[in-house]
Amino acid sequence: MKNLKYLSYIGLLIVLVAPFLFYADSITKPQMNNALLGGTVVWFATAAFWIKKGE
Amino acid sequence: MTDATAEPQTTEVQEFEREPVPASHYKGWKSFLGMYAGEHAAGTEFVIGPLFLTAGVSAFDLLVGLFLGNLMAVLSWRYLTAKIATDVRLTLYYQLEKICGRRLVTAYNLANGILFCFLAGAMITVSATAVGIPFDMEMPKLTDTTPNGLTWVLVVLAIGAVISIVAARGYDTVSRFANIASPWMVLVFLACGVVALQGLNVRSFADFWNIFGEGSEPFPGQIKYTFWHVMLWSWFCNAAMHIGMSDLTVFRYARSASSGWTTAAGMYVGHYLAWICACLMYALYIRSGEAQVMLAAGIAPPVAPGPMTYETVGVAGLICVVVAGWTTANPTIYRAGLAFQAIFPKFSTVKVTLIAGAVATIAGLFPAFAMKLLDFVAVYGFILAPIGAIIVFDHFFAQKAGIIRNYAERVQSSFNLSVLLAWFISMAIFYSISVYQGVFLSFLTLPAWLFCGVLYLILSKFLQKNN
Repeated sequence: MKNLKYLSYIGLLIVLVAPFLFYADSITKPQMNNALLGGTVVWFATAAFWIKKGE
Repeated sequence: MTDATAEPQTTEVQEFEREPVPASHYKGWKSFLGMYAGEHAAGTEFVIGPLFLTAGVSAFDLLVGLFLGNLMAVLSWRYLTAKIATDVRLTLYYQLEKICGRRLVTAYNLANGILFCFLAGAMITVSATAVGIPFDMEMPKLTDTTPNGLTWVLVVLAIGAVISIVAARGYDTVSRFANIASPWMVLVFLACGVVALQGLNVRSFADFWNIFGEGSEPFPGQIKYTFWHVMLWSWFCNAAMHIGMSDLTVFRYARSASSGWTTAAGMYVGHYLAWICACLMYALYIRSGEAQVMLAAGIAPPVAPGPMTYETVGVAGLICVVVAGWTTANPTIYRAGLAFQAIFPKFSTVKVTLIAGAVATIAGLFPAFAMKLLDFVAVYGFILAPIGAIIVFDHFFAQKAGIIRNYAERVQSSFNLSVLLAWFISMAIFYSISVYQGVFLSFLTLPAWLFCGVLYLILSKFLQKNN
């Protein structure tokens, strides 16, 4: 469960960092869009296993 | 903007509906922090941010006006709502019933339920702008009030049906899903803002400031917003929740009134960061050739969250619009159903939720609720806030004014005329001023609230004496 939690946070981190990398011209827009989608999938696929209602 | 604010634990709320929350069930401030941060990053934020831009706001008015307006909202929550909630530890409905009697609570429930349905309708409209993209659906214009085509109607009906059925059957699942989606949604809002800044070539704070500059003429069909419009609107957009005392139901669980400060998370994440990010997305859109052609022709470019977010951050943005609309429309419809159930107690929860969902879906067909969201939210707060004044004035000033606190409970009355008259007279006077003198409604929310409270004390003094 702990590893799953780390994986969730990595997903969120990708969603957070990708737009800033795009802003800094480090990645292209399609790359950023893909990173956002990837981070989104990782977050929802993993967070559902450890986030409880009301947390 | 928030939906009907959710309680930390639905099941626990039902346990203490007609008694003070016991100390063993008090919660620390952390329980409220996450809830408020998530609740105020709703689907409607995608519309509210851009609407400020259509009202021609300047950079100072937007940034400082929003900052101060949200600060006033936080102070209202902290020193009025959380204070009274931790003093009495009762739900809004039960506290209100003690003051004004059961029959008058029914009138309040009706107003509350109908307004919730319209709010949920606006959220369905927002979701429809995302779901409609694969169907090449024509997006509603800023001035549209009625459905613009068959595709729009079918998409809204489909979304409304799904949301209503899920709200009626699987509320807990959606509630859990909303908790999971909350932190992600906030980051997608932020992503939209950052990407828009890149598109707008913003490399310094001065560049950022110049996006709004000294403001502009409002778009066709919109009114000009000044500093005071932004500040007072942002203060009172959740008036029903803070000065209207709806969040007594939430904060009765708080260990101390200082938990009220946690509302700052909702205000500055949802009603500052998210609104500004959505505003930046729209600023980017109106620089596009398509929007410029529309502006040149005297037509306001549409505020369509679906296409805007898709253009800015791709599929993740589309998912965010759908999820934000869905997760917030759902509890709103559910609570509208509960409000109706209080009026028709023989109807099952499933039945009343489906009825509320049907009303919300019909409202969602009409883009006016979303496109005129600033006006609608102002009306929503204006109607419900004065009821909070009754509770506040009864709590703090009843003794000084020499009237009986919780009068309806004391005399076993089901109808307190002082409350009804104070509520209706204050609304009638100040709404008339707004309509006939053309005064912006949010300017009158506080005067109406104060007037209602004072009138309640005066009328109570007179009517209680006669009784």
